Amino acid sequence: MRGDNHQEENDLCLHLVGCESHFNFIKMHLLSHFCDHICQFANIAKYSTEIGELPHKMQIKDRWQHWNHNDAARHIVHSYGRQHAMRMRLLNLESLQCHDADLSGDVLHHLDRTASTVTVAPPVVCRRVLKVRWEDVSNVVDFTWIPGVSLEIIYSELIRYSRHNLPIAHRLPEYHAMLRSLPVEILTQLEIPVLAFQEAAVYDIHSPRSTGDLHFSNQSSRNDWVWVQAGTEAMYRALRGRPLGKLVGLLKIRD
Amino acid sequence: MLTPVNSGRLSDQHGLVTVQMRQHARGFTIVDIGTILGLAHLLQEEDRRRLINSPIDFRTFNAVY
Repeated sequence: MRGDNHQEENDLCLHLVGCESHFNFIKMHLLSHFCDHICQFANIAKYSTEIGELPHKMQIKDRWQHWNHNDAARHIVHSYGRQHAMRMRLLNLESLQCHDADLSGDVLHHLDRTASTVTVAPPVVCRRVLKVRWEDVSNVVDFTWIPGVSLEIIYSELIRYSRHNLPIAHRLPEYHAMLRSLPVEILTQLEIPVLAFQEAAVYDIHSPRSTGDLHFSNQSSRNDWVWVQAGTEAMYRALRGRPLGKLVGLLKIRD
Repeated sequence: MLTPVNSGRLSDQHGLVTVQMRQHARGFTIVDIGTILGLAHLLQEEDRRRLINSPIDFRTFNAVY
């Protein structure tokens, strides 16, 4: 009788090992394969490093910095395991609460407290925003920091842009003297909401900057590279109508 | 603006698109800010040539580094 029970336990253990043990989860060495994958399969659209990089930061780097580095590996694993178990426990309790399970008063009180600490992020305004106005600029003449670009070229480019993009009622004057006196603002930062990887309503904010020839954060000037939608998706093959350009100035013409 | 090399085809060598600066074009182009789609990450290959680092994920890049 005792032998039968032992055999039954062994069978159960083997069954559980067979069902639950697998290696179908993300490995920490995933990052090391990215380079090979790109060489083999070329440019993979929407290839994200998020899964590998964020656990690397949250599970290892953050805890390493907050630890005294003695027996760090064991403590990092222990600490992460404990927090993970707590999160799973909270999720289980919340699920039980949703199914009207009989929970004690202490548990309900704790669930209310943890629920109230969750803050809802404000909705992202999905439009481009120009920021950081340059104070000493009042007209187009001040917009001449670009090396090799004369005022004449700026005027002709403004006229070209006006003809091709603006409605007739809002077109710019085509006389240089009038263009020279147009009131303008120059800004150094543009905020662009970009749809996050595999998300439908979550946006990342890209902040390309253009500081002209001025220093940025006590370092050299910063004029970022940006993607520009300049044609249909059939153009430029892999770029899909999106060439790149360097942002050398953000100009706003006031009414 | 940068011109795609090889009409924007992926390179067999590294699987990335190469772009180069124009030599005989006007100094700059004015575009509407609505057509600017986001930041790009380029790797310098030669003096006037750069590789587009398309697989970069800026969300992770900003969060981690």
